[in-house]
Amino acid sequence: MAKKISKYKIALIGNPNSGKTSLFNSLTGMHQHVANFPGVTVDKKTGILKIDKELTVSLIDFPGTYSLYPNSDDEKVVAEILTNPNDKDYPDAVIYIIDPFDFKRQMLLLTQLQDLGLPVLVVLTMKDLASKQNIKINTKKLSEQIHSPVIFFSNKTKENIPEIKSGIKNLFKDNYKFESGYYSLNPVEKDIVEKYKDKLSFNTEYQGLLQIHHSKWLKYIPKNLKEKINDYKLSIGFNDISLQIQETLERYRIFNKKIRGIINHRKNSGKAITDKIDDIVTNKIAGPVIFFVLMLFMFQAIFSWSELPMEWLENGFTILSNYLKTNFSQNWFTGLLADGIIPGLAGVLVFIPQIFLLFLIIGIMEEVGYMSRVIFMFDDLMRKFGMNGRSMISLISGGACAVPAIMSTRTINNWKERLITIMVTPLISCSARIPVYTLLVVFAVPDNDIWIFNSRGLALMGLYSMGILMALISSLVMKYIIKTKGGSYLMISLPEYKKPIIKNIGLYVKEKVGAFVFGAGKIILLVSIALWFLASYGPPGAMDEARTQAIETGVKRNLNKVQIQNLIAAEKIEHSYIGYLGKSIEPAIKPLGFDWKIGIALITSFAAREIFVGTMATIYSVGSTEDNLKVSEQMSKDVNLQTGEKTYNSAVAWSLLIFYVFALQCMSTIAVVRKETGSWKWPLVQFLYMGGLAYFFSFLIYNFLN
Amino acid sequence: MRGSDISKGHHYKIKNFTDSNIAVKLLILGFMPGSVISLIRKSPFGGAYYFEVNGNRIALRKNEAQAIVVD
Repeated sequence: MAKKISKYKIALIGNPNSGKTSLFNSLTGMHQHVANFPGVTVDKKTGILKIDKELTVSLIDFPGTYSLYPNSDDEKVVAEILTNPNDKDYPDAVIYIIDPFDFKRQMLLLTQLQDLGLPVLVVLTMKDLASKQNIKINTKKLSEQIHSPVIFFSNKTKENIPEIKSGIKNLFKDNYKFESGYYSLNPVEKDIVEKYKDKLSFNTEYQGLLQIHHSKWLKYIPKNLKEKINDYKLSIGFNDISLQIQETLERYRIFNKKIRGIINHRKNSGKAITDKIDDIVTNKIAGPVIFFVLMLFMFQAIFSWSELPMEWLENGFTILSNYLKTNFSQNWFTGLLADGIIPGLAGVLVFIPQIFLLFLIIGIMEEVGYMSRVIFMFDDLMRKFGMNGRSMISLISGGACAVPAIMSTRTINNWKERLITIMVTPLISCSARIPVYTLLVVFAVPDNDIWIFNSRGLALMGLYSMGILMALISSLVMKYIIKTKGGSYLMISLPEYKKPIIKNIGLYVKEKVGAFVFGAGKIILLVSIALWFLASYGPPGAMDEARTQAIETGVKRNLNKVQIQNLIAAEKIEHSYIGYLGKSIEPAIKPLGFDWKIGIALITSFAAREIFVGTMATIYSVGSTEDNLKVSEQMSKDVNLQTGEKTYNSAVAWSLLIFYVFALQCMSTIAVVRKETGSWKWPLVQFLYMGGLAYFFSFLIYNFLN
Repeated sequence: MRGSDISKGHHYKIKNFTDSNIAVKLLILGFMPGSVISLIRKSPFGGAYYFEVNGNRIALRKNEAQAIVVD
């Protein structure tokens, strides 16, 4: 191969859980870049590997796949690229990663890759773990049999990295001859490939066969050609499924002979550790109990460990905002920064510690191999609700934040099950609701004990349960409404338990937190700028009038400077655009017991729910301190001018609480649902159904309690 | 007998499959005619099966296991 540019593209390919990402991390370290494969929301990770002075290669981490006959969107990406020599991601060579515990099965994809005519370097992973369990693989003989270099790699010691590097280099030597031709096409297949060889572009017969086999959904095949191929397939009796079965069986037959005697697995006496663990962890009774205790600890950890860092972040932003206000001239730009952008961003960034902890724990569970057991245990239960075992992980993540939770639904292969999971996840109370709950629950329930429980604690638990219950009910309803598209499968591998590799978890967490910050951050930035504008400006004259009025009242009441400032802020927001907006929606929310002040907070908290508290603080002229205690003190003094009753009685508080449990008060979620479902239809449906639930139940409870 | 009927602790040989749409997927996962299959346990709610096939651990739904014909 005489390529001028020294940068080759190498694809990392392997079965799911083969240790592929682990090898990718070892080879590229922090030099990784995550993007999407064109046109789909499948992560494409690329990294640079310097082999020596002359050769630098770029590595592409492909989604884990079992075969070139795909079963999910992730796998389709792999087939889409590897069958098309003209794709810009089409690799020059492949590193094929094999998990030694499940050796035989993975030969299937290897032979398919070789039949594409791609040079392949085979890397067996988990050397240390395999030798601990007496798995011996004769790599020299294997290499002779499959005509590809084979390296046995230890993720722990990483001693073979130089060997892998020189193996990659050898793949590009001119004299390197890859072996092609495991599977010989049968007459029907040969005929159709021959017929279309001028219309298609492929390197080997087998690649041509795959193009024809997948022609229905391959994006690079033009529509009229698809139709022609399809018609011809029908006329010659080309049956996709049965030919795929024949090919697979033929491959197994060929390589079973080749690998005889190569792998030697002397089983330890007694049960393997994995089986011993699974006896307890997937036990009928102990399994679910362990899972729920684990979840309890997880949320306990998320909320208690993140308290301190969240406080620091909050204080940091307040200090920054105050610093800007006191040290820079008071113009619109300072205002935008200090009152718009910084508090808006703070609203997102304070959740980083919780998101970090959530994905740290989920990452560990994933890395050790526990997650596939969770999927196994709860698949049938979740199916009753129109979801899938994999939905469990998304729903749990939803307890911290719906944005990364909705992104994690990508592993669900059935569209309907995935859609339902996306639609109900935001009903699980996320951490942004906590500040709202804790502020309002004070008005909803008196502070006393019921048996050994604090009544407010019970109320909070009730709110959480309401969200979960409604998520289940909604999913049941959707199960009967949404139409099915494509089959649904469980078929999940339960891998060997292994010790987690810290670097892998670190990179996983980094990726997820990054997705949260950039996914939610962008939206919140835009919305907070818009909201700042609406809250800072009003119809001409109205704002100035409000200001003079406030100063007059302040002087009359003998208030000090700070109090007057706060009063001005309160009067200003009332006469701003957003104030008018709040007043204009008052008739619509009055049946729920909400006045225009709550209306304003409902609008502003659309950027992020917890902004509710900050807005309340401004409206009740507490100033910019986000002190819950002060806010609730002011709120409790608020009296309805017409009736003389308190504005925040328990009916209003409950109504508002329930509104926040159900309503989709979150721009970022809407944006992520739009991205993941590919249209505005579903976020709109979601917004309306959740809004409908919120309105209905708030109305009900308000009128019941009042 | 079908994969969904086998009892715990016994070893069976896979003969063939009844549903070709499921069969293609099972083949990819290493369920082969001639493979040795045993049931390790069912899921807590009974709808999923934890199998060992050729030494690999794999979970299937009931309808997926039903597509396997065993001896």
